[in-house]
Amino acid sequence: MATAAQRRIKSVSYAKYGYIFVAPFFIVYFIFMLWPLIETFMLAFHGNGNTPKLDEAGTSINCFVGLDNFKTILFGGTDFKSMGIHERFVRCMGNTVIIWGGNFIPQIALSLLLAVWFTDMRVKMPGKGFFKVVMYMPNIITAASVAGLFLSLISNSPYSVANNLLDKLEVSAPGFYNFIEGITPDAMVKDGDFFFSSDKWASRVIIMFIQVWMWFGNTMIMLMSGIMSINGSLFEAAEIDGANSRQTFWRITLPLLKSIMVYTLLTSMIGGFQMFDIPYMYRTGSTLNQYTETAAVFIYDMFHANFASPSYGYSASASVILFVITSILGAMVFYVQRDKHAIEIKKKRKQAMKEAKKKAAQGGGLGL
Amino acid sequence: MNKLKKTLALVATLAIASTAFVACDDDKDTSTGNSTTNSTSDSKADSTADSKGEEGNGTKFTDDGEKLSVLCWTDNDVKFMIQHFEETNSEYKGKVEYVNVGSEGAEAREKYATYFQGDQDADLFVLEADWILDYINNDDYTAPMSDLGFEASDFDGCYEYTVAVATNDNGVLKGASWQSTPGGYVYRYDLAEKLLGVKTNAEMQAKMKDWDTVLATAKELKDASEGKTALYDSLGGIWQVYSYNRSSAWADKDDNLVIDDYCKTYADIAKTMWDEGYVSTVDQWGDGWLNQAADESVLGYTFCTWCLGAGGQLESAAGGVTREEGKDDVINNPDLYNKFDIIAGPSGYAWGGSWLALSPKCDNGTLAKAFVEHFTINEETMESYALFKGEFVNNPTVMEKVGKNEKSNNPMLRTNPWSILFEAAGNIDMTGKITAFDSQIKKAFNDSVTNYLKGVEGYTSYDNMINEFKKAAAQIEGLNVQ
Amino acid sequence: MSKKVKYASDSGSYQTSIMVKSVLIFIVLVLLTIICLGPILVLVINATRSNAQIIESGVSFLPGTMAIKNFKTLMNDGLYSAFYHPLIGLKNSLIIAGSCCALTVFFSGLTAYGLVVYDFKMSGPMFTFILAVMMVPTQVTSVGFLNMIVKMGLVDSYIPLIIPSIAAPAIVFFMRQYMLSSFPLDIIEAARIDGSNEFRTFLTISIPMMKPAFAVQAIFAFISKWNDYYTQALVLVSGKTEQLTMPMIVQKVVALDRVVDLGANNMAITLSIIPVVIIYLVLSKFIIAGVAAGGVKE
Repeated sequence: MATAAQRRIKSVSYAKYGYIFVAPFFIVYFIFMLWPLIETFMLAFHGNGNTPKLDEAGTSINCFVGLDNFKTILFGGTDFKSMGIHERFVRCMGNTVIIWGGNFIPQIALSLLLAVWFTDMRVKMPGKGFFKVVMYMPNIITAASVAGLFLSLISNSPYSVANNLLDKLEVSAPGFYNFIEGITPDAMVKDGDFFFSSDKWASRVIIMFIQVWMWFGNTMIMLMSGIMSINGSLFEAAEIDGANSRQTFWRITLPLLKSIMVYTLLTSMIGGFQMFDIPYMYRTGSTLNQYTETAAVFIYDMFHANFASPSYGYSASASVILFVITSILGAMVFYVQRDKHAIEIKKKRKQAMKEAKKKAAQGGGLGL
Repeated sequence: MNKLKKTLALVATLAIASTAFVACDDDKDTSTGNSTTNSTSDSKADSTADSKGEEGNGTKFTDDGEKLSVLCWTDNDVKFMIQHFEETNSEYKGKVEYVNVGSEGAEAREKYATYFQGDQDADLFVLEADWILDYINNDDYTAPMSDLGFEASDFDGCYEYTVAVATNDNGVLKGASWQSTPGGYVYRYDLAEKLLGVKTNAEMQAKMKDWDTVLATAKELKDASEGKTALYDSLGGIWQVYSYNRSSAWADKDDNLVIDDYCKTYADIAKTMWDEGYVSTVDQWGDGWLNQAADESVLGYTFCTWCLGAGGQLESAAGGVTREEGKDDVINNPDLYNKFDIIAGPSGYAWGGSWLALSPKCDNGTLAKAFVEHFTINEETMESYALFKGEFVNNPTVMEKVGKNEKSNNPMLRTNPWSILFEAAGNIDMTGKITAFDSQIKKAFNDSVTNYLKGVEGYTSYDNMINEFKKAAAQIEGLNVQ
Repeated sequence: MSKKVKYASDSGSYQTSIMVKSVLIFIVLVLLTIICLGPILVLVINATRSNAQIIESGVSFLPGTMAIKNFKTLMNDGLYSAFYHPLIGLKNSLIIAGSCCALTVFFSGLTAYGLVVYDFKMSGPMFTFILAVMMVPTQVTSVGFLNMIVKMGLVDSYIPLIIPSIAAPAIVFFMRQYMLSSFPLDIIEAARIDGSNEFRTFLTISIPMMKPAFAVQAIFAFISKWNDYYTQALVLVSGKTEQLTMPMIVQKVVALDRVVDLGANNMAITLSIIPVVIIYLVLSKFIIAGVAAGGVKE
């Protein structure tokens, strides 16, 4: 919604400043990032491997193969190679969606709740500042250290803290393992050790937890900075009018938080779909855990696993697919959160313009 | 969202447009570089020879470089090598430089390629067994040993397999190893005596002479310790040994994957070991891996030459040593420290290993030649280095001597390891069994078997496991899977 | 903002319900604090314990007595001291993360300001472009990135680590959203009437008003660059001692071929997070202060 002042400012031609202000961003972006990006798109339409075998289409990175990579990834084929790639990609996408859902939803809910609590003037308690600072702490540690830390806390290893505790439970309550195996028949338990980092659901839930643990503080701070930018007098006015916390949240905070919410939703969503570090590093041994392998891990592994002849083609086309999916989701977030009022005004203005044009045209026609 | 669509369309158009410029046979430069065909590189090498051949140092390289740069990712080897080289040849003092590239082998593998594309100095660099083929098959990054003036017969003293591994697909020798890495079984002899009644290492070897005996011994151990002590430290360890047990190569002459009885036998042995608790579930290299001998949850480890070196894996398993500059070393657990012994185990195997490769950018021909000769050809200096560092150098004649030399005893082991490993190395026969795909196939197979043992979805029976293994192996470039 | 207001519903039951709510919230927050700090505490405590103690039991609630010994091991044991130069790492990481942080925040603010305040023909498409490139998966572009810096001869240089942070699409997007929701454009008009030129308006009026957003993004940018081992390892190929950064050193400690002293490892990781914690604590004050300073609101 443009205020009167805004319209006035915009009517004066300051456009060149706009270009000057955004120029550094675009210059640097074009130099350092656009080329790698274009290369990715190009690679998606090229073959895999490094040895040029020109008689066999699609075996080399230098061959244009059209949509072959996409076809293989999305629909597979009859040979072992295509089957392997297709199944793996589908599995990775499934894992991504599951782990993303289990991390994104609780994370947004928790962060929003905390952000509202921390900014609610009426909630009085000691150490508010301390809590705020603490919630972000997990984000400070490098992902590699986080993965290592959690592996030593809870993993397959009998030396991990969780398995140590289970051992102590078995000593104090014999038959404990039988009980566990009874209620979770599919769980991977061996010699009194629970395979936390290999078990299907245990490993997924642990990764979801680590993701929430690492990122909820970040999301919370972002939301808080959004809430704090809302004019405080609005909250005071609401309070004076006798609004309760719930009403204040739904009627004032959330609507005014919209643009920051869009940002938060979008970045968490993109970050979640591209989640790589923790799923890649939280595992025991050199074998990737097929239950927690995400799309980003697939992309990375395709060009890293075999250094001599990396599968750039598959890797890049998986990136493009991921890009398309996140773009669609991003567009949906925008669509849902769009400012209906502003759009209405715009529409009306357009219609008025059209009519004016029509009239002018008709006038012109008559003139002839 | 019209704008978004438009931009997307723009990006897509850009992508397609730029793609159009790349014809099928274009030499597009990627970070990994392109393996140019052998003929072109040969002519390249020839022309280099023409221009530089007059130098008179017997190599195809100049001596323009200030220092000989040796690239590696770990301080454990090259630093000692340079020290020994410079101490032996005082005229080269201060002339050799160690360049650290990456912190792990896997990292160095990628970083070398980037490093070579810059203009930093590179003369010799170290390659690891798992990925040596990436480099020796690429003439942009490695030059033949013959460029230093060596002939194939110069390396006759080396273990044959080290030469076979460093020979590329076109039969050109591109690397020389200063070490051979045979392994054995290192166990706690006090525990073995208590649980198995074994007194000498010959008796222990008799209890592990082949795989059937191993299984029987593992059962005996399990019963004696009431399930507490496993025979092997990790599944990775067993695989390390068994992977050398193949009777034929993994791929036939037409590059078809060979799946034979071997696969079934290993899967069965591994499954028995795993299900019965004959092997620890702890991950090789994981937390607590080397703590298992101390807390008696395993009897011994699959260790090879470099695990025994001063301060390596064996030392950690033996409780570790505290070293501080200017102070005497302190043994952390004297009761455990010297309770180990070594045997060859059920079959001979080697584990890892490193090779010196030559960069085509080498500009210290004489020095590079002297360095390679010092560690891979000259028996006198090799023997001296074996005693200096505690290394299993790449020469059977030398190692036979070293094994009899009391100076090479290991304080942690009851028996001199080099004599045992010297015999073990003799059991390794890889003639005709090495293919370009080995490290990748082995990884795919081991991963599949591991999933099979853990009961991961899709790997629940042997046949399913083999099916998944085929899918993984089919990803290996150039390998055909039926 | 927190001045005393006479509340309409200042009745007893209302006060009680607020009290109950506050207590409940307090309990939840204490639990969350334990969850957040627990693993970090484990790390810090393990930095004060010996290797054997850590292997025996990974968690202890009481600090050990080996802190100084672990530090000495890092500094003196030949295994570590070959590459463990914390001061060099600290200096280099501060240079990289500091300049990245400043560039990111300043130029993202500038770009967002340009997009929001000025009405120019390309502003729409440009914003859409920024939005679109935000969605690009980062893993695969690293291949092209490395390729490019090799071609530009920028291997082993800090330039490819620092300069690209001028273009941070996600942060521009955040700044734009922030400005849309809380930036009064009237104030720019007022400044123009006072004869202030556009750059001065941005520097002296907008930046102070955007303080909370700047502080938030500065924290995020600093920390993510501080921890960005991946790009640093990609670009600084030769790993020269004088170029090592903190995460590169930590990675070397963690990835040692030999099996090592877990106490010393934990000490190395702990020492590497201390500077980030300090920076974070300093900046987090700005967020709170920034709100109080508030700027002009309608």
